Amino acid sequence: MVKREHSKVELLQGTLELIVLQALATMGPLHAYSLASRLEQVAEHPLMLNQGTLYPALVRLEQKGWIKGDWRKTESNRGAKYYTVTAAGRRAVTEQAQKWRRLAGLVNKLLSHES
Amino acid sequence: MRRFFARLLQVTRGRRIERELSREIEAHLALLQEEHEARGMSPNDARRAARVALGGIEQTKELHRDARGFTWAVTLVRDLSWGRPVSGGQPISSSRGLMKGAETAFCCLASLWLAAALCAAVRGAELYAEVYRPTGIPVRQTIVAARTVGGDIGLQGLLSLATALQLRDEFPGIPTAVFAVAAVPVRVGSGMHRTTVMFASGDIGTLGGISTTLGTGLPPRGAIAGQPTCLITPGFAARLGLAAQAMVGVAVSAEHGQCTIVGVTSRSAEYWRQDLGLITNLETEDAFPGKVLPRGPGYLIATLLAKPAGGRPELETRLRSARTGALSDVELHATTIPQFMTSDRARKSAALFGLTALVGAIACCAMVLAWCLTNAQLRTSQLSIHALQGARPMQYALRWLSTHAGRLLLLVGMAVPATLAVDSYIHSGRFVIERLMPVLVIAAGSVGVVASGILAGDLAVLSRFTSGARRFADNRNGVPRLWFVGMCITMPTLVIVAVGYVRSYVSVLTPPLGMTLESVIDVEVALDADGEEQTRQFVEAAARLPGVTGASAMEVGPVTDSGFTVSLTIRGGRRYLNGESSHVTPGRKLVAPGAFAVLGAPLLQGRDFDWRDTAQSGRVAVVNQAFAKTYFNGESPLDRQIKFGRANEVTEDWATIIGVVSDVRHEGYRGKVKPEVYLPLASERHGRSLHLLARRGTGSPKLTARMASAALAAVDPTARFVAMDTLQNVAARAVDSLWLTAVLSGWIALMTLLGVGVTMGLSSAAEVFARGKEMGIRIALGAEPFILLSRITLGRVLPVSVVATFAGVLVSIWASTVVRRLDVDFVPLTPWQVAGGLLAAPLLLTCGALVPVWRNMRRSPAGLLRDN
Repeated sequence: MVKREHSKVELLQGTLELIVLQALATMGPLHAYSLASRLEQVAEHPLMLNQGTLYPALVRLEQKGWIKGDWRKTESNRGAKYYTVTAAGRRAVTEQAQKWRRLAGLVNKLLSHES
Repeated sequence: MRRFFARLLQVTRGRRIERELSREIEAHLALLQEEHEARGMSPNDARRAARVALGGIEQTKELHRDARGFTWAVTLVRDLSWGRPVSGGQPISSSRGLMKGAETAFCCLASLWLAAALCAAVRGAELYAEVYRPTGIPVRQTIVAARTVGGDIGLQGLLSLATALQLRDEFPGIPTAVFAVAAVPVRVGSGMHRTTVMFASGDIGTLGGISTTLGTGLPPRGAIAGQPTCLITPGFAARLGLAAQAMVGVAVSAEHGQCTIVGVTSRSAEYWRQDLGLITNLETEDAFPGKVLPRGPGYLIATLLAKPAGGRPELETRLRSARTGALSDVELHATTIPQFMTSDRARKSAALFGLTALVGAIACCAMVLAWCLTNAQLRTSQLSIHALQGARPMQYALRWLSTHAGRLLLLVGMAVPATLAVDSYIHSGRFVIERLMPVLVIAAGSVGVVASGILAGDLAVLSRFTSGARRFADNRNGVPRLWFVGMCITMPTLVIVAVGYVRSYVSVLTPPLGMTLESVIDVEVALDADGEEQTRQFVEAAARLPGVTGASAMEVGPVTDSGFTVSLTIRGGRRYLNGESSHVTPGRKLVAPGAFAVLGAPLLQGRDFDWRDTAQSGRVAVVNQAFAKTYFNGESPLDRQIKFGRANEVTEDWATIIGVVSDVRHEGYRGKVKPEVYLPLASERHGRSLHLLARRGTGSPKLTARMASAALAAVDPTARFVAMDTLQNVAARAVDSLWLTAVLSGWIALMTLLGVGVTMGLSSAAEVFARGKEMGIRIALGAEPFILLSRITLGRVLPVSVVATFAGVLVSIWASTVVRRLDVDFVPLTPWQVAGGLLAAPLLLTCGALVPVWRNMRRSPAGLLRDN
């Protein structure tokens, strides 16, 4: 149990938005539940993520105009809010991904030098 | 920016978004539950697992709210408003900890009130210290006031300086000082200031107790040479905004000449006149040419000072025997210089003010403590959990302080501006920030008191639990009875006294002044020369201004006239002496033509003055209605003749009454209607300052005042404008102190009332909550909720409130009597009104107690039981 806790990855602040945006850009329109399932699927390590924490990230992305939500029916004929990436969101995902790569590269470089 | 507007939009669409969020989360949970059920979980387990995976429905919603809106603003609004019920069956702070909702609102109110009350108390103490300042005169001396019987200038009770000097010369061997005071415009640097100047002999230093704290004193009699000198009082230096030290060597010019400041007096100089600014030497010929004080009787007061060798009777005997025939009309009265610098009335008012503020502050502290104790009782369950978890008092206190540090700072931040406003209003009558540090200390201290009270209440309960005493489990004595009784007594006392103050304010303002203040501008001008012609030019120039419908002048400004009275003789009738107890002696006013029209006082009979009414054309007078009624028994006084002083007074001419004007209260709101005689400004001796009055039809007062000053400066570039204001402002200032007292008293009383209502509600809530289980069972067994709750609550609260309120009303009757003796303006309540208060107060308290009853009535018995 203790080992499992230590093996979980805690998301860095601000990274959840990029992950959600990238997931939506790749997978197309998703609702919050399927988005959470998708994130758990693709993660190599279990994420320290309550599914409820997706909602603030979705609200922030919506406020920035990078995604928009609309109500549709799920496969089980249940109403759910689907989120789609907007054109501004697609531009933003590219920019944000580049920024992240630069930052990650810098951190990697520093770590390799130090070691 | 886009996100900001999106958040703003979402704030406005809060309800819709909340609905959508609930629907979305519900769908999310349902999908999660379906997934868990598909893995073989039971529906209940699947639902629980779904909730765990989501992280809690309310928590998710809270995160969403935080992200989508302005959380800090929403929290602040919620904290400031009574967003949460006073008591809804739940312990007030059980769910969200301390300092939320109603608690924060209470803390805010209590902090603000306490801060303001403390501020008022501090100011009251300052005022008290100020008015109880000793005169500083080392030996209690006898002052011999000389006054005329017939009046050498027609004004009884006052002397001309010539007479005073003559009197002094007639008393050889008696140490004597002579002085006269006059309120005159004074030029210091480039500014004009109105202050009282004392023209005194050098002996005033030893006999009048006017010592110097800086520089030198006035030269003694017979040792005057060179440049005229004068002393400045610390009060006047402060009014000029300059350090007293910097004033030494500065040249000052008044209408009587120029002199150089050589020293600063002690505060004791202000004993003689509160607004005393300068003291110059009477014997300095250059400073005081011809020993003639400002023309006209308005300012002249002369007094002989003496330190008697053989006591007061001996002095009076010697003075009487020394009088000569020429001064046979002069009466001498010996009195003792009082110990303090201010009048009895001022001292009593200050004491009263301080007392009221102090009682308010004590009541506020009592309310805070009562509330804190009640609150701690209500939070027993929560505190018991802390105790079970092993919390120790110190540990709890530190954690509490660290948790609420931000909110406490917020409270201080809120208390500071409120306290500043109250302090500046009390201090100066205007909202000017003058003393930041004391206010900060008071505000922080007030919040500290509230915070300490809350913490102390919590710790008291916590300690009881940790020490093993489990009495709190049976929390039936949650009402802090002692505090409650104290509040019940304090509340009616403060309310009834404060209502008396408000009534006194209303009674002062209600009677009409008899003149129309609106649209009238008062410009005080200092003239360089005798100015009959100049006055006329000023008036005509003001009348020609665009928007001005009338202009005139008066010797003394309306509303603030201190009211000189004169002795009077009616030709063919009797003589009325000033000071006769059976008769009101008339006032004497000098006015220019058109003054009645500008003031809005209609002429009832005869005619107004015109510019042809001069000293050469025969003396004329206009009297008011009260004069006609008092002296002519309602008959027409037109063409009757009057004279000031005695009938054989050679310096006075008979004046023919040419008109009757309506009554005007020249002494302002606090003055009374009395007989008045108006004389033409052009035909009488008057001082070298005038009040020009202009009534404007259109335009702003400021613009008209600026135009008036420009027009008057064009007539005489040397004219000095001392003050310029609307009569409305002048009148408002005249009642500032009463207004302040009424507002503060009313405010303190209102807050006390509110505080007692809240305390009652909380106490009652404690009772209801403590017996919730019992009530739930009784209601479940068929008891009528309202009757049950009312009996349980009111059965305990009402008897206490009735008895305590009755005691409070008795105390308030006594307090009203005391206040009536202290303050002549105070209008106490009648016995009927007190009886009304006796009925109203318990009703009000009962209403406070019924709030939790009403709230609990709507709850189900199951809910009541579950909460317990």
